[in-house]
Amino acid sequence: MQSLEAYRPFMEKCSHCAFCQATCPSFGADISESQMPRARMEIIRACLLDKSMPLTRRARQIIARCLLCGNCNRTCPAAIPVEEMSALARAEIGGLNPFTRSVTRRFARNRGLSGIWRVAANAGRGMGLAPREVPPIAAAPFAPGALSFPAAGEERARILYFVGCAANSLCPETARDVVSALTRNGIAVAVPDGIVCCGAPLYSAGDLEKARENARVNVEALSIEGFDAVVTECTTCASFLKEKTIKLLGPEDPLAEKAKALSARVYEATDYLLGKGLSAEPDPAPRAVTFHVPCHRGFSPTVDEAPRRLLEKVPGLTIRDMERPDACCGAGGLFFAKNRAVSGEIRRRKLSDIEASGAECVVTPCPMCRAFISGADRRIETVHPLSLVRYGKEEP
Amino acid sequence: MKAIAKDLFRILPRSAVLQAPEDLLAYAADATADLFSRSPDAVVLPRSTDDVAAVLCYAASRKVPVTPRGAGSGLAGGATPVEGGIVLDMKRMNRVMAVNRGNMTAQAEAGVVLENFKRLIAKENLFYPPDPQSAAVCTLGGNVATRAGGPRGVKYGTTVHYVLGLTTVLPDGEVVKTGGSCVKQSVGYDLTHLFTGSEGTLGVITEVTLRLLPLPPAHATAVAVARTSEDAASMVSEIIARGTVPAMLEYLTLMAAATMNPTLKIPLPLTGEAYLLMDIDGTAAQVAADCALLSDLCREKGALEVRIVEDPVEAAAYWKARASLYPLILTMAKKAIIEDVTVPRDRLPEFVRKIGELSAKMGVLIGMAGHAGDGNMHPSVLFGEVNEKTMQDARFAVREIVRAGLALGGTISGEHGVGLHKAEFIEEEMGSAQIALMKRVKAAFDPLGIMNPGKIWPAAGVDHAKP
Ligand SMILES: Cc1cc2nc3c(=O)[nH]c(=O)nc-3n(C[C@H](O)[C@H](O)[C@H](O)COP(=O)(O)OP(=O)(O)OC[C@H]3O[C@@H](n4cnc5c(N)ncnc54)[C@H](O)[C@@H]3O)c2cc1C
Ligand code: SF4
Ligand code: SF4
Repeated sequence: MQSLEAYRPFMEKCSHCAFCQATCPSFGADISESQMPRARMEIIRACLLDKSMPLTRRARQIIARCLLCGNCNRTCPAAIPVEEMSALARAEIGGLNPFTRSVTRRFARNRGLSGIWRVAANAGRGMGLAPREVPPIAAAPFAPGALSFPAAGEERARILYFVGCAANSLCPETARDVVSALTRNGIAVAVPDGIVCCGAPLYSAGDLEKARENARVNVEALSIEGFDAVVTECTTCASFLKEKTIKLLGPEDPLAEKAKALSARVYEATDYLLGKGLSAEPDPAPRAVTFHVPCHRGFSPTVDEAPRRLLEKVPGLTIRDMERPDACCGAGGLFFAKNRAVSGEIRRRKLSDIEASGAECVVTPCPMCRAFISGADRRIETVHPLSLVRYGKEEP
Repeated sequence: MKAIAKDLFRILPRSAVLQAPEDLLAYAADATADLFSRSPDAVVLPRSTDDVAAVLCYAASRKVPVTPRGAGSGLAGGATPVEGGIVLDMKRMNRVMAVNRGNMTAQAEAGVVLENFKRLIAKENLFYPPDPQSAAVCTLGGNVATRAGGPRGVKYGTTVHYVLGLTTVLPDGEVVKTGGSCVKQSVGYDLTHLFTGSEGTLGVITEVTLRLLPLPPAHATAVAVARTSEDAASMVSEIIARGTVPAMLEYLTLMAAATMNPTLKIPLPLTGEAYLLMDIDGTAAQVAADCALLSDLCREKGALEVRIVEDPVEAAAYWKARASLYPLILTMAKKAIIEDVTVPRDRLPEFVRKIGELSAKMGVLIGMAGHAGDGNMHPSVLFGEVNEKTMQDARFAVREIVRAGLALGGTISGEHGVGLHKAEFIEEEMGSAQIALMKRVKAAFDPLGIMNPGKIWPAAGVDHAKP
């Protein structure tokens, strides 16, 4: 992902078959072909590559109205990555205003905000400057620095835990649940020092420079010997560490080889635990749940089903599948903050599928999906799958 | 802003009209974009029959051309606004009004996506067989307007066999309801089936009433590998002659098999020249018996391998790969002209041989996939480089393919329609008397000639069909 120009051959592979209408959430919300991936790609090509059309406000709007969900890439028979073209186009156009950019960069560097920044951000949220769906920043992050948790019982594996920003500073209880589920299954967990945001929010905001910088920091911080895997609780973080980091850095980067080696060791937490197998039956959880599959799932063929497969082993749990569990929820990272109407429309469909399922609770690994599905009024309960894998009658 | 858009803003909500060049670009062509495209002057996204009527009243008053559009997945250039004007994007009319189990019918708006419709009725164990491979996006209206078919044609026929009633807005804005919900009807001219297949040239279909069937309880997928293309074609003729009717009977070339292989768990052996991909449906006992019969028959006809795919997930992978074939092949060729020639099924071996000879003689690559079970082949002329010579060769090859089909008593289109790209051949097939009669029908419905001009027969003096 070094330049848009490199995507020209992909653009030329488009057969105009229209299949990408089927799963693009942005198209689905508007039902006009200007918002389908193919059209977005054609606008990017005309305005930024061929320069055959001026880069008008409308063109920018169409380019911006992409949730970077990657559905186009998965649905297109020719696997054309319109998602990556959108991200590169945004980088070229320059997305964020200087203030938002500096806050995003700070958040991404610290995996949260502390001190005066935290107070200011939470106050801003209270005043409606930030969407109410995003939980306030917790007073104490889960991992301000390195941490380590021994395996309970016999050690079956040792992993590096990449704590995502949201789990670190918006919902630290999720990070605690993840550590507990892993350690109780014989997996020793260490949070390394020096990790920063995976880069997804920067990427989404068109700040590719900074996203690359973060990627390099993480590659170094996570390339420690003595661990079987790098595990993260968030689907998007996993996809960034596994797929996007390599692409963003490109083959010429001095860290390219290290990034590749890292990629081979990255797992989403439920996918990893499922692969290892549970060493003991979890506590009963007598509830009816349904599963939402986050969009950034392309990096593993099993990650979409992993939470469901894992929770099938939880006694007492009733699974009520919703229709289209893998349809986007509308969050798109922080896309929803700037595109309320589009995201609201996408969420409306998701909520009606959730409601039809009859479940009382939505299970999904991604903290942003959880926050957005819950809604500003937290009407719908959402949990991380590993929060339902408990042992020893712990209080939730 | 163009005057047309300005006028439209006056009669419709702002969100229903698109007029920026960026928006219009998205509507400049259907799936045949590499052959011809032109941006319309405005796009309207109606939500009701009334909206459509209002647009057509306006269009008639100003003599503005109107091109109805579903998903724009058509393979004949039908939804391409060759003369500009207004494109009517029907996809926001996406409600299913009624599913009537007692009568086995359903009523839906024209913009409903075929796959969504199928999924919805399947919940009640109901089945709507027409299955164009674009089901994930194409609309019921587009299907009716083109008489869309698909692999299931061999056993279940095409869209035309399931349309019972339509609501159509005529080019002057008048709304007519034709047919109804009765599964047999014998009153007056069959206008319902005149609109069916009219490719948007007689009016805009806004609602459809469709006949449904019970969902077959069991399925199996089978593949036969044939030594030569003619072997495969004669297997098809034989299957039909013996009266065992699979639900789908697809013909694939070696190239198609190779294209599909990466998505299959157990790849197809690349030892044959052609392949038959079959779906057998019915009760479990029937399916087992038919599978045995078909396997024997294919072996008798020299099949190198017959494979029954038991795993439903793997079976689905075959059909998904089949549906993606055309876009996948395009990733390898620079350009493809996909034809839709259909021949009587007993003439299939001859047709396949002729196309093979043609390809060899001209040195032009012609891919041959098709719904062989109903005689519907999709010979596609593929070229790796686009220049004057290859274009000319391709054009010549297309002409020869079409003539070969017609000479065997075939038709130039089994399911895609004539649209823009087959318009130059229609007279060869239908003869001047039929064309003259059709033109009188057209004039009776659309005296101003504003409904999807340039389609079905070439617009005077313009040759948009040239690749
Ligand atoms: C990969 C691929 C595979 C395909 N496979 C098949 C196949 O197996 N079988 C098959 O039959 N086709 C196939 N097609 C072609 C195409 O999908 C069908 O022709 C389909 O019926 C078109 O539907 P649409 O909604 O996209 O219509 P469009 O392409 O938008 O329009 C098609 C025609 O119908 C008219 N029209 C559309 N809606 C209306 C309406 N409401 N009222 C009046 N006129 C209307 C348009 O003006 C145009 O002339 C395939 C296409 C692709 C890209
Ligand atoms: S990334 Fe998602 S929203 Fe963006 S074009 Fe692709 S499918 Fe649409
Ligand atoms: S699905 Fe892929 S090939 Fe088909 S129109 Fe969309 S981008 Fe083009």
